[in-house]
Amino acid sequence: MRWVVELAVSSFILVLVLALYNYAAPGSLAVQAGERGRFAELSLFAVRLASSPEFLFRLWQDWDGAVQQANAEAKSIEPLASVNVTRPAEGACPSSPQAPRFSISLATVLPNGTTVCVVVRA
Amino acid sequence: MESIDMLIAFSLVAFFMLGVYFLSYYFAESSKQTEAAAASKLDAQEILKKILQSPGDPSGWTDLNQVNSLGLADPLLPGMLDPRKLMALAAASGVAAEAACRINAAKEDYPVTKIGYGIYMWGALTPADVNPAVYERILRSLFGDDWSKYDVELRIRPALKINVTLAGSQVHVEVYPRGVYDVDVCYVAWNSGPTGVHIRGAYVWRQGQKYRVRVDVENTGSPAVVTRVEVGNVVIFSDSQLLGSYCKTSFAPQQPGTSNPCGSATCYARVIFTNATGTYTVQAPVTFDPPSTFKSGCYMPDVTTPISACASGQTGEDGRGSVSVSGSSVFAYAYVRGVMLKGVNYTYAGAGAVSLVGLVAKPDAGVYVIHSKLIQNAGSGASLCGYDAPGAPALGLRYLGVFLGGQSAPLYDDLTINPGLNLNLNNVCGGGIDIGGCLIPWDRIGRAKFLIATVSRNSQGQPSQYGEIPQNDVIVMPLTGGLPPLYEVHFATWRRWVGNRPEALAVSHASAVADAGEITYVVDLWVFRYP
Repeated sequence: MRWVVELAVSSFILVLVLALYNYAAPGSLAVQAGERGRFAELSLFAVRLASSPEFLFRLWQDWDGAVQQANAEAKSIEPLASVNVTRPAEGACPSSPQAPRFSISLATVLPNGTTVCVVVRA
Repeated sequence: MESIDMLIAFSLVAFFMLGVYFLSYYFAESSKQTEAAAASKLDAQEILKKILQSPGDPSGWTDLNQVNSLGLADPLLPGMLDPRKLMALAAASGVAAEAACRINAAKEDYPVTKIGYGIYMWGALTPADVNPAVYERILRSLFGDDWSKYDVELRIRPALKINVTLAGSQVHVEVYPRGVYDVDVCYVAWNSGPTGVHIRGAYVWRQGQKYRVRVDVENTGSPAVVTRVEVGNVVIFSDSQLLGSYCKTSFAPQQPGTSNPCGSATCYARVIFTNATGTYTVQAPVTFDPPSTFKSGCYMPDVTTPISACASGQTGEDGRGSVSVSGSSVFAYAYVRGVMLKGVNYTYAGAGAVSLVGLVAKPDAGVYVIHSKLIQNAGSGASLCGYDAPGAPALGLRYLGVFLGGQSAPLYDDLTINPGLNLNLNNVCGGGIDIGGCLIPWDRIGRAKFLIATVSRNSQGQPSQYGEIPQNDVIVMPLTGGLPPLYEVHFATWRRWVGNRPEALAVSHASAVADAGEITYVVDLWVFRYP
């Protein structure tokens, strides 16, 4: 029966090697490299939105409509992106721990002087 | 038994070692590929940034064959792409052309490409026109001495898809992705109002003990046959009478009646007519006062002063909206703005098949105004380019103006284009001389939204001789964005050696959003890395 034990141990080692291979697989590293690029793209996207006079004026007039429209336009460029606008908490824009990968939060000012935080997530 | 166990154990160990050997070999290869992919991914980001933020070399390039370093930024407007560079890149990458044409000059023929109604771009727009040395210079400026291991592919497309349709006095706009957008619609229309058969006046009035009736009709569209005219419930005409284009006539009973054809104060006159597209009825309320005189007969329409104006509105959440316009619009141009994306599109109202003037955009010079007789097919077959019959009339251009956004302004009032004269492409428009064609420099056009040319056939011309040439027409060349708004630019350096996207060791992708003129573009870049 000893060969059964040897077979089991060998199989275990083989599975371990395959698991290590999957962990260090090229696909994983490629995704990491891709996400760096995606982060740069979303950052530019957030800056563009936070500095858009059309967006800020529409937020001032119709908050929900502006956010809805920003989401529609964002998803047409990056399907996983979502946009939210919040008011600063204790003088700072909140971080967004619920964001699955990225969350960029930028402070900007509406035409009436109100400070808001534009949060882009993906 | 024990020896069999040993044999199995040694075999397992041998297989294990062999497996590890092959896997480690594979790891080494795939890691190399991964490194290449990661490196070229970063390259894609950096390269896209460089292309979008630098004006290139030379900084004001408008011909791809002159480029040493590829950059699309506008040197005068930081943060914006230069529409003229996009136009040049579109030309080099092959704009979807309507027809390949040429300008027929006395000493030399020049290729031009028809891209819309009466609108041409300078040059034959095929990727083969790019000098292969340009690809090398561009790749060398991006990758240095390793340039031969790389290729780049650039695709630039408008972020918003906008459909514009003309429907009578309405312009319908539809925007994708759906949402609430601000819309400005600018349009060009004839002064004469809507085309077709119209009741200009319907009258019932008393003269002594009798009732007189008259219906005044004008046709501003295609020839029509009036078959029936009614006032109230009384038929005052039931026969066939031809009413030509731009003709007026009155219908009245030969003898005044003894009873009022209108039983109540709300009374309508109806005219039933047939034209090339079907049978229609128009109606208008009756006036109970004696009419003024109405001169029957035909006339030449005033085509020298088109109306151009703008109206604003907003789409619904479904991305659809309508804007009312006055007159009979022949061209409408919609400028759409979301919260961070914007775009432009335009449409024609099914204008004539062949214009009498062609507008030819040359990126490094301006817009040429050339009689369509001098723009001919590059190959054989039916002419899609211009009208080159020997008897084509010499006159044609009635008005040439620019639309600045909100209003139009005449650009030249002393321009006579004569196809009988030799074409000299060095002629700048103006000066009141009779010429075959001339150039309007870009600095004269400035930042106008579009160029408007109205044309009409020589009054001595016989319509049947000129077949499909319209009696009068408007040609509008949109100038926003430099190239027609919905065109996509697709430029690839791998075209230097293959016809299709190549196999590569690693392919990386980056994208960004950028504005050029009134249009937001999504710019995608792929970098191909070879072993």
